[in-house]
Amino acid sequence: MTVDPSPAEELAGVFARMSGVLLSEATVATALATVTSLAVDTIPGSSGCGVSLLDPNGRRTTSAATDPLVEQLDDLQYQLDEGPCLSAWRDLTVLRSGAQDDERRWPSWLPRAHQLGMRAFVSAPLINGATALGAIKVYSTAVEAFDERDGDLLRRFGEQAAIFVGNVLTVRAAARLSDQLKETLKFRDLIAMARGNLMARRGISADEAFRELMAESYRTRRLVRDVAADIVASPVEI
Amino acid sequence: MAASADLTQQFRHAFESADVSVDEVWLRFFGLGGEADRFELDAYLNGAITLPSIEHDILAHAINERLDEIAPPRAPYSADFQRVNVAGDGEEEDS
Repeated sequence: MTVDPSPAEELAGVFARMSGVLLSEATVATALATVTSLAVDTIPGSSGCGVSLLDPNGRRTTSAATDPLVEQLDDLQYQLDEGPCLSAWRDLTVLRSGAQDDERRWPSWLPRAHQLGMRAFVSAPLINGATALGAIKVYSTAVEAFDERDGDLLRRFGEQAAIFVGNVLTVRAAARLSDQLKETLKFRDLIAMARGNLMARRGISADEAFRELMAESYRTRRLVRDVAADIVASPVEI
Repeated sequence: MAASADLTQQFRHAFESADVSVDEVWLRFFGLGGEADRFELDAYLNGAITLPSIEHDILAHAINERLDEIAPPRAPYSADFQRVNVAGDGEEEDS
């Protein structure tokens, strides 16, 4: 499938349509895989694409690649702590191969990337607000495959991808929080039941009942919720 | 009052060692049955307000359960070895 180079609005449209489908699954890996295959279709001359999400320390958290070669090229960057994606992420700028100082910038990565067959690349950060979530790179096995227009296209693509991935990350965080809240409420209920149980059995106050749970928790080195579960489950006095 | 100040400091130190945000400790506190809201808890941890002693105890227990979570593993006793050998149908070996 080939897609003509699109203005930013069309890219935004593509991602918006994709969001509807993928936010229901809300997996970051799927989102990144979508971004990479779309990039190859969008940037003319691309042989492959890789994208990585980075934590504030520059460590890779999740990544996707359209093929094993780009996977190798990207793995190499993170092993050597050197490469255009890392530079694009750090400097919040688009980088295109063919500059005079490429060898100076990436003295370890560049020769090895050439050995692997890469001849040209463009890297762009995934900018979300004031920071970058990660970076995206397209590469080619042809020399001078990318021009300034391709660099600009990838920059705009990176901006849209950042919004898309940012949304997926938010949905994932919200889902986790919701699961966490549900579990917290479940345990709070259980502990309240155990307190009521002890109050009835021993004729003590709610506060005293909690302190009994605490003491048993400390004595048996178990969590209060586990002590509570046993009390609620057992038909006879412990 | 010196002893009380020591305990206050011990409490603060315990909270810091737990290495959790106020939001996270509140969630644990709430899960144990605590009534104070997040802002009150934050104020209490900063020494700005007082809370009923039961609330303090629930908070202390939330912190202590977290400390147990991140504590280094304990050394198993001989009874633990015996229990593993009996339960494992011979497939477990003591380490």
